This record gives sequence, C-alpha cells and structure tokens, in this order.
Amino acid sequence: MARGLMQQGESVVPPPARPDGRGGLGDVAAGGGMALLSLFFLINALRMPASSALWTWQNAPGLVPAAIGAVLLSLSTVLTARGLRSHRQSPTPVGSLPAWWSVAMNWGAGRVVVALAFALVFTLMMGRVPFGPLTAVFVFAMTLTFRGTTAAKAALIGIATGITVTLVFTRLFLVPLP
Amino acid sequence: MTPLSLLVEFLKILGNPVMVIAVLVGAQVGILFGMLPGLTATMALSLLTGLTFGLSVDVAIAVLIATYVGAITGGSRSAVLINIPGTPAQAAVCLDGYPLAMHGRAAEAIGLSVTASTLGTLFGVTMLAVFAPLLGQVALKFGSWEFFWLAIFGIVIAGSLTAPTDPLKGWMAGFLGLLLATVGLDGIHAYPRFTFGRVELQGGFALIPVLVGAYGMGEILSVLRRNERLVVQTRLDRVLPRIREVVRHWRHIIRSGLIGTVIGTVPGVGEDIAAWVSYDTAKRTSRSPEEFGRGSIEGLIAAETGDNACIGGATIPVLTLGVPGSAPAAVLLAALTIHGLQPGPLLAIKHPHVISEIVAIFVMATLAVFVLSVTLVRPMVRVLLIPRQALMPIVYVLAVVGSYAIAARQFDVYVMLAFGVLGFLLQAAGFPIAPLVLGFILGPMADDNLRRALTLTAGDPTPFFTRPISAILFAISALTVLSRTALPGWIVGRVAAVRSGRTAS
Repeated sequence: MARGLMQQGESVVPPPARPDGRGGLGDVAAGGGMALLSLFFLINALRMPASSALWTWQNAPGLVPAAIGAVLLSLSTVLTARGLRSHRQSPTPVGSLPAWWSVAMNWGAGRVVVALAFALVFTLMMGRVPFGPLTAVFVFAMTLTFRGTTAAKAALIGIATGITVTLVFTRLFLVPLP
Repeated sequence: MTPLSLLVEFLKILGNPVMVIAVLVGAQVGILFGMLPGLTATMALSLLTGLTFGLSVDVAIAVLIATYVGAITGGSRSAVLINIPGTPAQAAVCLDGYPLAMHGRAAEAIGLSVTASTLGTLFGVTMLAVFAPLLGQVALKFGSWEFFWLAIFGIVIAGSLTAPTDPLKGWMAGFLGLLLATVGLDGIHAYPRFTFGRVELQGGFALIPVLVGAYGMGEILSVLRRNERLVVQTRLDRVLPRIREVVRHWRHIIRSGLIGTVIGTVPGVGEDIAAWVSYDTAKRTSRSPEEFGRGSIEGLIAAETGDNACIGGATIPVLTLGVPGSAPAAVLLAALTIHGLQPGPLLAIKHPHVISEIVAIFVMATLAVFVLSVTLVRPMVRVLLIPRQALMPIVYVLAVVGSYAIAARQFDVYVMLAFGVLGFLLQAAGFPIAPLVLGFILGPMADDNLRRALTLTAGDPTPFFTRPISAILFAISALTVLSRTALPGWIVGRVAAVRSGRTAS
C-alpha cells in the first residue's frame, strides 16, 4: 500500500483549471453546496422567535443569521448561475466514471482519503487508548504510508514522537492530554 | 507610550531569563515553521496558542510574538535555496532570491533578506508604537454602527484581495465565516442558535480548533496530497551583509516599510500582498527594472522589507480595534483574548502597559530572529531537507493537542478535523481561507453591534449611513464590491450605447 501511494504521488498532475480561475462545473457544485448550507441556516434562523418578553425584532437572535444566510444564498446562486453559464459556453468534458477516477487519483484524492482515515481513527481512539502509545502507532503508520520509509525507521520516529509529545506537554507545558 | 516606558519594558524582558528563553524558543520555532514549505506562520501560531495555554500570559505572548516574527522571516530560506516560499509571504522573494542562489550568491541573498526582514519588522513595530495609541483614541469614538461596518468592511476587503481573480468566492468565504460564528448561545440574550439540543454546541465553535483546522489540517492534507522532494544545490559562505550594501538601498527599505505597514493595517490582507505590492513598487521605481526576476538585490530587499513591516502594521488594528490585519495576526488576537486581554479600544485603558510590553517583545523577538538567522544558517539548511510528508503526522498530533488543550474537550478535536476538511475542500474549489477565518472572528462583532444599534434607534437604520465614520466604512465597502462586479462595465457600455444612438440620430 505504501509503495502504491508513493508511486501515485510521483505523477501528480494538477486538475485542469480555467485561465480566469473560474471552473464551470466545479463552481456549480461549490455554489450548490453553499446554497444548501445557507438555506439550512436561513430556515432555522427564521424559525427562531422574532419577538418575546425579552426582545423585539430589532435584537432578535435570528435576525443576523437570517440576514447573513440570505446574503450567502444570493451569492451562492450567482456562483451557481455563473458556473452553469461558463460550462455551457465552454463545456469541460464530463467523461465516464473511469476518466473521473483517473483525474481524482492524479490529483491525489486517494492520498487525501487515506490521510483523513488515519486522522479520524486517531481522533476516535483518543481517550480509549493512552495518548503516548496511540501517538506512536499513528506516527508509525502515517510515516510508513506516506514517506515510504523502512518499518524500523518509521517505528523509531513513532516511538520518539510518542515519548517526546507526552513528556513535553504533560511535564513542561502542563497541558492536559486525552 | 513614551520611548522611556518602552525602554523600561525592554529592560524588564531582558532581565527576566524566562522571557528571554521564551523569545529565543519562539523565534527558533518560528524560523523552523517559516522555512519548511507547508508549515506556515498561521499554523505555527495556531498550534502554539493551544500548547502554551498553561503558561503565564507574558511568557505565552512572548513565545507567540517571537514565533510570528521568526516564521515570516524564516520563509526566505527555502525561497532562496529551493525556489519554494516557506510561507506565502515569501512568494515574491523567490523571484530574485533563487536566481541569486543559482549564481552562487545564496549566502549573500540569505544575509540580505534577513537584514531587510529585520529592518522591515523594526519599521513596522515603530509604526505600531507610534500609531497604536493614536488609533486607539479614534477607536474610542466608535459606536455599534461603526463596529458593524468595520466587520463588513474587513470581510469585503479581505475577500477582494485574497481572491483577486474571483472576489465572489472571497466574499462567500467571509460570509460563511460570519454564519458559522452564529452557532451557540447568542451574545445578547443567550438564546441557543443552531445547537439542536447539543450541549457541546452551546458555546459555539471554539476559535483555536477552527483556526488550527482551517489552516493547519487543511495544509496537512494539501502537503500529503502531493509527493515532492526538495533538492538544495548551492554553497554558503559569508552570510552577514556589509552595512554599505544595505544602506545604499535605504529608499526601497523606507518605501517598502511604509507599504507593508499600511497594507498590514487593512483587515485580513496580510504579508503576502504586502510583499507583492512592495516588490511591484520597487520595480516601477527602479533604475534597472530589467534585473527584477533575474537576481535583483532591490527586488529581494523590497519584498522582504514589505512582508515583515506588515507584522507591525497588522498588529495595530488587533490592539486598537480588535480586528486582525492578517491571518497570523488573527491568531494573535485569539491568543490575547484567551489569555484574558480583550483586544480593542479598551485594551489601553484596562491594561495600560500591555501595548508597550508587546512592542518591547516585538523588538526583542526581531533581534533574536536576526541573531539566530545569521548564526544557524547551515544547520537550518539541513532541516530544510527533512521531507514534509514525514513532518505532517507530527504536526497533526500537535494540532490535536493544541485543540484539546484549551478546554480538555474531545469535541474541539472533532471541530478541528471538520474545519480542516471544510478548509481543504474550500481551497480545492478556489475559495480563500483568510476571509473565512476573519468572518468567524468578526462574527460576534457584527452580530451584537447590528442588533444593539437597531435597538438604540428603535429599528431606524439611518445612522448606519449618516454617522461620518460609519458612512465612510459603508462607502468603501460598497465601492469595493461595485468595482469588482460587472456593474461598472455595464454602465460604461450603456453610456456608450446611448451616446452612439444620439450621434446616429
């Protein structure tokens, strides 16, 4: 797996970008996502009481989130519409699933997903496993995967990091560790 | 603040071994973070804010300020030696630093860049010492109307300048930051907003996990996405430049110092823009502009002076208005807040010695960074060869500890991770991160002040547009938006069409 990731990374090609930095379907997706998020905030803000014994509409808790949500929704709509127009004018080839897969892999999506998976497992295991050993295993696994070094060297880096982090933060900085 | 009070603060720090060690450690950590591509000044400050939480206020602030100065200065090392800026602030340094290194003048380029950085930082800090108290007096006249527009102004300007090819995305990032800042109990009535009954969400998203996630985690993923190896091909001899060599560029130093300081005071813009504008101005005013990009000493000095002068400039609005001038300054603002020093107009009144103490720490940190930079060149070059992929797992562990340390809550680590993914996705889609973070920081200011102002006027919005400072801030924000949209072009087109119609008739 380590070798596979290394080889993948060596031929990284940046994703195709438009000269003006505006990317048709990418903007449509980003604008759509932002529109959904802002709509979620807007609807929930409007459901907050506009007046009560404590406040009138002028200082209602939902006023500002509703206003910002509306502004963000408008901007997202502009971005989506612009992306659609740009795509219609110069359509980027959508391609089949394998073509998308190839672009994503060249871009480094596989490495990002693996890194996120490691980070998520480390975070979820916090509090269940002592922090020092957990750090050592995490650094060992990440180093082995992304650096492509020998297992012995990765283990040495992992153990050294686990011990140093635990000692420095608990003894020197007096920081609580999970 | 008088020169005497500044001297007293400086001597106090110098006489305190703990503070001296804190400054030296912070400076060295900053240089390391700055010189390693992928580790930025903002990331260094974000991580250290959480990690130094247990230290006393003075020591923690000394570590953070020294790290800030060290990181902005240290980035030139990799820019000169491997043509990759250590932090975004050094992108302009690559243009002339690397060609100099290619001509076997790497040591000279590093020496000059460190000296220019030192002079730039001292220039910016002098401006901070002079103008912070004056601006503080003006800021005392600000009411809720002005603070609301200040927040909007910050987002609009930062959005425009950090996404020059597509300001719409910059503004969207800023408004998204504002929106995310509304999660939790509201600042006036303590009404739970978007918490959905979750106790952890009642306090909102804590600032440090958000900063560490958006800048740190996002950068970790960006570095791990690629797989690059660095090669250093140069030799190093005399590093310290001759005084005559520096003095003969005094015009560029002063001009870039002024540009860097002024750009620093603009909310959310930061060191990289200061470096580019200084570089561009130096090229326009140079007698030998053809040398720029081929190893021009003038270009190198201008870019370095500009980005470092921005440090002092960016700290001015932090201390006087509670608005950060750059991304690292935003973290500094958060750190000051966490340690109980609420930055803003009342800082100088509640804590009269704080501004002079911060200025003294800046001076001390600048000198420490200079000494460390010129004495530890060769060992630092060896550090530069450590693969970034090998460092990222350790940086992630530090990000986790830093996020967890503030409140000892696992929830904050999840927030860090979530904002890391959000930041990474936004960056991949072409959205800048600085407006997002600025919006998140300025969110409570915009929220509370808009509602307070409307309450004071019983819902009448007129003062937002009639009070002088408020009207100016509104006008600048509106003009910035209009100038970056298609509207001016449309108006010009319509006028031309009407004129041609009249001519034809």
